[in-house]
Amino acid sequence: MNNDKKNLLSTNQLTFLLTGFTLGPGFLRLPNVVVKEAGQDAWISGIVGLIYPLYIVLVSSYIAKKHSKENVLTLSRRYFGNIVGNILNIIFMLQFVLYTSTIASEFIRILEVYIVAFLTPIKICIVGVTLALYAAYKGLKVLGKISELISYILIFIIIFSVAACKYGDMLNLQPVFSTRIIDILNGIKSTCYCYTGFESVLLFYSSVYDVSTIKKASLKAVLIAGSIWVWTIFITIYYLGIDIIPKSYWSFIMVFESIHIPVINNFRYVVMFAWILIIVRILANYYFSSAFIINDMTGIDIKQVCLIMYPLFLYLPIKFKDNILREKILNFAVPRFVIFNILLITLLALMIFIKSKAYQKSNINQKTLNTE
Amino acid sequence: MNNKRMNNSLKNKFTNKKYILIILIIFILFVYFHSGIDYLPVEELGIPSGIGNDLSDDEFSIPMAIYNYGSDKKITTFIYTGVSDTIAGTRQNRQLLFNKNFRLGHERIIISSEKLARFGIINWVSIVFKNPNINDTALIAVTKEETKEILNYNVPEYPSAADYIAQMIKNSTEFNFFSDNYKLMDIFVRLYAEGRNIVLPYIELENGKFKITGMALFKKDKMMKKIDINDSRIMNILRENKVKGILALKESSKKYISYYTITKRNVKCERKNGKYYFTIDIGLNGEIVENNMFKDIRRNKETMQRFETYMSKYVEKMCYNFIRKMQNDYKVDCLELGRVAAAKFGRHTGVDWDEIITDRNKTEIKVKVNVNVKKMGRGNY
Repeated sequence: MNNDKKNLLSTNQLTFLLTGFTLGPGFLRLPNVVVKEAGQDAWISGIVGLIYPLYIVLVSSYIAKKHSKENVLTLSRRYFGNIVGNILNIIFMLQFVLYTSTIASEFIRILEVYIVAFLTPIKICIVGVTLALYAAYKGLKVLGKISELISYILIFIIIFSVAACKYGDMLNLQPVFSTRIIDILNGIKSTCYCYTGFESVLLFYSSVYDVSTIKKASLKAVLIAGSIWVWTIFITIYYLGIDIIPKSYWSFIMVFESIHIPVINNFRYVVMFAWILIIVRILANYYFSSAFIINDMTGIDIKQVCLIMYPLFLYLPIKFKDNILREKILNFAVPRFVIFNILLITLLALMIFIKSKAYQKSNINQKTLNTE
Repeated sequence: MNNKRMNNSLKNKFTNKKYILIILIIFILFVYFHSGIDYLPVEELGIPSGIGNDLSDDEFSIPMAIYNYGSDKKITTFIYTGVSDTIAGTRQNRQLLFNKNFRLGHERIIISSEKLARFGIINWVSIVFKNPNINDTALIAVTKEETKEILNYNVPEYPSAADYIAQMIKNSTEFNFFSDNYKLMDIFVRLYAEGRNIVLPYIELENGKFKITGMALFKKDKMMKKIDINDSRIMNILRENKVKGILALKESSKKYISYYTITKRNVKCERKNGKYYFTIDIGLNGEIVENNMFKDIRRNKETMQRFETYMSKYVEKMCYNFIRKMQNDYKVDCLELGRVAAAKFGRHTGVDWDEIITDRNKTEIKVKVNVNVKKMGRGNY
């Protein structure tokens, strides 16, 4: 029993593990992509877009309640048959591999510009991916602890951005509610890349120590991540205004330059330093998930899978550094993966619901038969 | 017994091997990453204290004031100028004269000569924006003379003129209603934002001393006009919020009263029949620093009210004078009223706010000043 508690995730760790799948380098660019579509009402798109993670989390906790000892991979094999189930699992895995590579390439780009301009991309990639490999090698419990600690650092850093309130102006957010509905909907579509990641709860809910708290933990994760996203969009528009946001590639970082602390020339340096930890955490999480799915499908030991995938994850991020290729693949893949996730989860939940209703009915029939 | 000891020693060997392996890997990585990187003491780095931007014969001329760490802890300045037809090209050109490796990040001021400001500052703003190392809190100013002359000027006991000018601009917020919005970051936020424009302090060398003699008004990225210090004071009262300065009422050359105040500004906007109506509410709150006119202002409530009405009427008159000049002469929306209108009536509608606000038929601006005296010093002589 004690062993279990040491090896399984606590509720807090599940919450922060989930935020560790979603708060990564993408949300530094979140104001850029959403403001391009929705203008100064981008924060409305941010709030409404939270429907997608909320839906995934609620349906996943239903599935978790019904089948608390398994994960989505075995369930899809059970309900859809072996062949179809495996194909669905492969598609599920592809999105984790894709996101690992794009996150690593974003890592390289941000570090190259802001911190280590003197290193070549391959060197930066080696450092980032090796750290992620080491963390993933150690297993899920370690990832949970890492996510918890680094999420506290992330929240601490975000609180500093409140200082930008002094220099911005409410006028930048006005006129409110004046953009067309179609623009707000387009804005919601562009939040999809940042809001994905909560599907990972389907993989790991069986490793939680207290299964009854999964729903609360994952809702808390959506709340934390959601408030950070909406706050990011809000404070960036408040400080910069919608005309200036497109001019910076990572506009949320400009918000941190408004903070003046006596000793430090530019608070941005402190933020970037913490950001390296944050990106390594999310990279490790995605790395582990990709290895986990492959391990489940092929039965190879998960530590060996991690090592085997290492060269792949050195090659792909360098390939994705090319902006045009990245944009093309992400524009193609992200909406389709999102729809795939929603459909997969909905179908699974429906089938579980139908089967459980049928099981109940047969139980009642059996009981009435017995009493007769 | 023997078995156990052998097991233990094997285990120890294993953990020792692991540590040695890790240290070896770290050492190899260190050497791999460290190749080609030098460490230099600060005396051998070229750290600019100020950057100038000039235009000479259709070419960009960018002088940089570099600290020179001499013997006896004395710090002086050398000026190195790069000339080229692109701003990045000036870096190459300057390195031909330069004996050090220059590192941005510590520059205190970035000044522009009036010639380049009238040509357009978008070139150096865009190259500076791309560089993440630049100091976003550097102060910006426009100068009358060539920046080479300004940066070269020897201010006694100061390592460079740039330090002196930086402190001058920073402390200008004490009076004359200057705000602290003259940093590089403020230029980034105002340059192409809808309804906003840039104004910068204008510095001249007068009688061998640096002096702020007014402000430069920009339309987008080109300087349009230089206004003198009296107009700048009124513009700052109408434009900025929470700025400090001195206003005075004068009856004769010996009889006057001075009022040191902090302003508060509020703008409201309405639109009727396609015409814009702006109301600027200015609240002045301050203390009487000098009183040779209203002797019984402290005892008599009516005198106080008389002072307040006279002062508010005086400020309103000056404001209306300035607004008239702005609409007839300057042709730039330097009060950032376009920003309030865009916030109320929609952004990106294709409207040119400069045009609308400086057109007397399309805009009417009303100013209401409210004066409040809260302190009067320790007595009246």
